[in-house]
Amino acid sequence: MMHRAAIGRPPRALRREHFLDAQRRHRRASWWAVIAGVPSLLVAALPLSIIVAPLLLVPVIIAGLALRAAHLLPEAAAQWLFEPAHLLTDAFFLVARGEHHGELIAWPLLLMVPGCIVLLVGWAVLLLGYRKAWSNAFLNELGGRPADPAQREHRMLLNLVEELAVSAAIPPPRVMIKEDSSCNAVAVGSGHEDFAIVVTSGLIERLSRDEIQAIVAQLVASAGNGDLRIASTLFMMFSAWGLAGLLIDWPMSPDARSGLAEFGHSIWNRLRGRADEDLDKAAIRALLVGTEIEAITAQIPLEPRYGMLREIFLETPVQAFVGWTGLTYRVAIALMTSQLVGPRFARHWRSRRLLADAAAAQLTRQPQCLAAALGKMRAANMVVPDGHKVFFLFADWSLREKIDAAHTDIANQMPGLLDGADERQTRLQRLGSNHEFERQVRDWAWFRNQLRWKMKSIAAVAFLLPFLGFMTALGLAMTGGLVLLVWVAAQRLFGIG
Amino acid sequence: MWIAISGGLSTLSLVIVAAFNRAQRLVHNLANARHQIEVQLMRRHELIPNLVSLVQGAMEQERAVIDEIVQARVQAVSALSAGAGSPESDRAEDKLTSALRALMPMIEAYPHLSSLENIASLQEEIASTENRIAFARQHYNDTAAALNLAKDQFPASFFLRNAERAEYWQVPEGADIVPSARLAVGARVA
Repeated sequence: MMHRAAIGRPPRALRREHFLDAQRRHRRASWWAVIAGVPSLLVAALPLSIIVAPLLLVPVIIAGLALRAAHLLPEAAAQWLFEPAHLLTDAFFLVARGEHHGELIAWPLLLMVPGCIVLLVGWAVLLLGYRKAWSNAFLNELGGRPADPAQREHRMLLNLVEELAVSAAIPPPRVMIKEDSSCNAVAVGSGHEDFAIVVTSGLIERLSRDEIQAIVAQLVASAGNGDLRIASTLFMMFSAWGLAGLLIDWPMSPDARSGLAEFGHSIWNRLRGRADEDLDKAAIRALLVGTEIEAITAQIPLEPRYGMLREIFLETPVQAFVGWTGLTYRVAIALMTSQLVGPRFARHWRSRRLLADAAAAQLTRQPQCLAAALGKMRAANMVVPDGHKVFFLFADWSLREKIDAAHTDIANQMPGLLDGADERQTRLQRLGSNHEFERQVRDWAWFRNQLRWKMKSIAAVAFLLPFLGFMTALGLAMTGGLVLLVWVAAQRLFGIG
Repeated sequence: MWIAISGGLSTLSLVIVAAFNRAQRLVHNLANARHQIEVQLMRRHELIPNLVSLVQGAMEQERAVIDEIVQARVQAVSALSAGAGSPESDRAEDKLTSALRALMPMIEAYPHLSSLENIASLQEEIASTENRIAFARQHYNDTAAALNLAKDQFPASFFLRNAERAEYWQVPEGADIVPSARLAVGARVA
């Protein structure tokens, strides 16, 4: 009689899922994540507007006072222009006395609208004109050279990319090779009609033809699903935040001034029809620097060009105000991205990754090749030098990569994106092209991750609301104080108002 | 109440427009997928004369195989005029594929020939073209499936009622079942 252990247990039937069903499910999940993420973007923009709005209102009021003093401003226009200033100063004292009027409702709107308009207009300008510059800037940072058809390995790579382009019915992307021992590949571009695939030489050496094709299929599928447009849209939004940051630092920081000059020069060239790619790339880099906390330290100290009295009584208060504003602005960005936008974006991107995997299975009909390729990549070194800014666009990224807390780039503010890396291989192994339309059963690990996400989100909101309240109060206090200062000074010095 | 009615009518019109556009997109995608197969088949037809001219001098003993390839190519080119996916074209292309598959191992038996760089690159190009044909057929079948599914679903079925049900590309009768996964993506799945 044979022992049961020798016979072994009968193999469990593999629960399979059709790749089209998997795509439909992940597409739905990514839409839900987008729907949940859009409010987080709007909420993240509000405190920024509160900080940006005073710095927009004050120059407008000062300019209006100057025009009125020169009798160039009609009375009706002056009344319309200075009504907000009256409202702000009166409301400040009303709140101080504990009285409330209906006009107080207009205060938040007054502070939010100008900043939101600036951010939205900046975002629109960047989206319309700088998508390609953004992707070219990152391609330059990654490095790499175009694949040479004369070399056999490159020719093989070009062929398999073109095969996948036929399968996906999209124009074949550019192919670039980065000479590095790391084992990875990335798709960078503005959309599925204009993108490049960068493959490291380490990947070509370690993987077989079919496995390379599976990895490239995942990237092509990702581009075909619109992931590059989503990524570039979000990066343009953060570039718009960076633009606002440069505007805040402009009075005090030479770097901010040069960054704004580059951006202005780039816009001017585009309007004249003489777009300069290098200038566009430099402008994008300058805008992204505008969101980094390190940038605030560059503006202190101011070069000692002015006399001591001027420095003490004029420069220092203004510098302190602008410096403090800039610092709170960047802290707000860091907290918004890490607590609000980052987690929503991470969840969304996880769904897009799984969708790209299922679409790659449809393109190649060999999901096991992709699973095997991911396993080989994880066994090797996946970290590509200079790739950390767009690490979420790579086919996969190393779990060992430490996220630098000092960096506030959106690329480094996605907690949870790398959770469940093994889950991806398991899902790929379950994908098949047979027609068993079984619903995939959620296992305990996936459910536990979902529960962890929900707890993290609740904790983030519980922490964020008091901070938002503090930021709002701080912004309102700064605004009211500055406008009051300017108004009182105008009344005392010029008898206006 | 008028706002609710106008809102409902607007939503309904958007749904109808989206369904109509989707139906048109599926029909055009299917035509594009069929033409994509023709493009890849023509690419293969253009590569074969280069291959024949390179090998025929060195492989005199395999004259019969080379002549078969040349003849199969001529038949495939003329059959393609009936359109990719037609029975005549499929039979002619399958015959050409079989002839090519017979030639490739023979080239390996001539070391001085197989070591030539242009022969190796041409082999890679032909193998890649075979894969592209398979991928194009696979994409055509996926598009045909999407169109047929839309014909059975509401509301796109209303706009596709006059469109013919798309025929899937199938392996012609009597053709070999290709064992290699790379070259057999478009073959019938057992």
